[in-house]
Amino acid sequence: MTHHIFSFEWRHLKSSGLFRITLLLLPLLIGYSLYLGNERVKQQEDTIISLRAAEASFYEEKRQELVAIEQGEKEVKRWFQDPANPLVLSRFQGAGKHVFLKPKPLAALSGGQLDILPNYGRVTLTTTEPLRDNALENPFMQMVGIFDFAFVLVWLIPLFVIVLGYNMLSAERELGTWALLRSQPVSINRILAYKMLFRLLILCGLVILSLLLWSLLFGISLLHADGLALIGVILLYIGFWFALCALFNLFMTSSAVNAVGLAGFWVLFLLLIPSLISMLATSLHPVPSRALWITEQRSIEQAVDQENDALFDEWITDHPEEFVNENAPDFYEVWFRLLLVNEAVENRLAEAEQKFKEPGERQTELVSRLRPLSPPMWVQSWLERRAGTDAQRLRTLDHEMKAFQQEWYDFFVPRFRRLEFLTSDEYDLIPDPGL
Amino acid sequence: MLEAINLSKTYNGHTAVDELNLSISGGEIYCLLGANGAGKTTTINLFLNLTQPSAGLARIDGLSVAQYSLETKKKLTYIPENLSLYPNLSGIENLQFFSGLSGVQLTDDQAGELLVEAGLQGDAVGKRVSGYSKGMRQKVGIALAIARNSSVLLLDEPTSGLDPSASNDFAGLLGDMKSRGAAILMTTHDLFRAKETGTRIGIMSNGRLVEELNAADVSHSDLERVYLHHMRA
Repeated sequence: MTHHIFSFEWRHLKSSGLFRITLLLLPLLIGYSLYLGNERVKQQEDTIISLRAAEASFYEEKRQELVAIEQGEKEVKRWFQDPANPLVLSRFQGAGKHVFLKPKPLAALSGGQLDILPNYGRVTLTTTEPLRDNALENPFMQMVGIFDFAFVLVWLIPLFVIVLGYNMLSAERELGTWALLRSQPVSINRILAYKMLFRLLILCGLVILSLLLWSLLFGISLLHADGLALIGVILLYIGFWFALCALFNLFMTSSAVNAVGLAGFWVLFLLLIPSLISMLATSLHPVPSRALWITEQRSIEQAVDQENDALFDEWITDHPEEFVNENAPDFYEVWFRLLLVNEAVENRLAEAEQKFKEPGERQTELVSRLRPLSPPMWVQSWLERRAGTDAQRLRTLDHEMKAFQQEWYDFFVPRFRRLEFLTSDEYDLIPDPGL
Repeated sequence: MLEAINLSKTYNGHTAVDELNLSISGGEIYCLLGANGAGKTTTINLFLNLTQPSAGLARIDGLSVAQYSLETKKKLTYIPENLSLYPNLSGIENLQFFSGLSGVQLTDDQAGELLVEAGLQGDAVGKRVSGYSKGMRQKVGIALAIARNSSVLLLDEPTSGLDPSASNDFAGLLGDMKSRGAAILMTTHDLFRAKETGTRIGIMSNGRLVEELNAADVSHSDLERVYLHHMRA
């Protein structure tokens, strides 16, 4: 019986123009989104490779130069060109290292917050600079967002589900075949359940098969726990929309009412609830203005700058062994003071930043608590987390850069303060953030 | 065989069928006449178990319809006033689908032959049903009855809206089904067709079977007189 009903449901679908469009369009949309995602990940990987290569080349050149100086083949002309000087290797032109958030296996499926938050940055002795491949991006493109599989799944697939499911049962009543079906020696509920199940299977099959085939073509591996979980989430999400279609059909409403009602739910879950949650979060936990934060930063910088002498004197008093008094080069005291001021500014900024960060963190917490109200929001967030493109992970870049900067500081600054220049052998000890 | 034993159906205090007693044997066409709201369609629905009786029993081949709903449905074919089929499928496909639901699987050739046997033109059987007239769709219903070898046919005003020629063709098909031994219950407003086609004629009024006649024993004019008498009573 199952096979009989399935085979005739297939004939119905085959003759439907909407189904033929779905059959053609859905795999193309999935394929295009995966193609773009794959290109985006490739670009990220290329960026990592090229920046790592540039870093390696910079330090290798300096090492060669230092070897030549050590062997007396070359002379140091100016202090800021000396490849043994810790400042040259940690702060000046070309020095520093890049910290990366490496793309996760599902990164191609969701661009997430990558259009807003960077995934790598450069660390030097005094700066942590988040970088973007698309720094001069078209603001229109930022408004539109990234076309990725997450968008196809969360926004477009529900529309296809509605197209295929809005009149599953209502059409039978409107055609008049309902009466004939009820007179058959098979339970009407069984017939209708099989008809619905078949459409559900067809749509799930189409999405999963398209995803698997395009992934195979683009070399995106789904053969891991996250890949399998993704398939489960896709089935659940399509199932959710299908159940909504079934509910509308069971309430004996007309196809037109079903279509309008389901479109209304699409708007509710994808636009209204997320907007309401966002409004609620911003009104309950308002974030102070960016202008205020910039003003605060400047006043801290100015205040610390005015304390320059006091800071310096305090340091000399507390750490006399860390300051070279005799025969120090001209740049020494200037940079000594500059590093002290920079350190003090960073410490005070970190304290002040907390009050600007807290409301944002509370907003994030509230949004994640309310997210289950909208299954599309939940799926989007799940995909971003698994793809490693969610705001939470991308914001860890800042912590990772700060952590590496501390390592960098601890390696170079004591050497600088003691005026201990590096030898070519010590280049191997220069910290590396790795991948 | 169709049987109604003290069969009653009451909706919200209104009695649609009132203690109906009826017995239709194989090879018999029973035409049920009556005004709109007389209880004809409710009677059909009771035999289809689409509605539960308030009292009494509806039986098909000795089985209670209410108790053995799916088993009794296997024995019957129902043709409503306006037989609706899937318009995007052909006559052959529609027949295959509905016969398959009762476990009768037909090849394209078998289905085509049955449709021709039921009176459809050979070139129409493979065409989409969306182009079929009402008479053609009724013939698909008859083909379904033949395919399922139904012992019972329930026809709810099947000739209403058919032109005289199509109505006559349909009557001929019913004659064929009768000779195959089917017990046929047909509701109709058409006194002429009831007299011509039926073996027995029942007249319903306000849910009650008020008159039962042998078709062979009455003339057209007598039938009309008796019918109008009950309608005006």
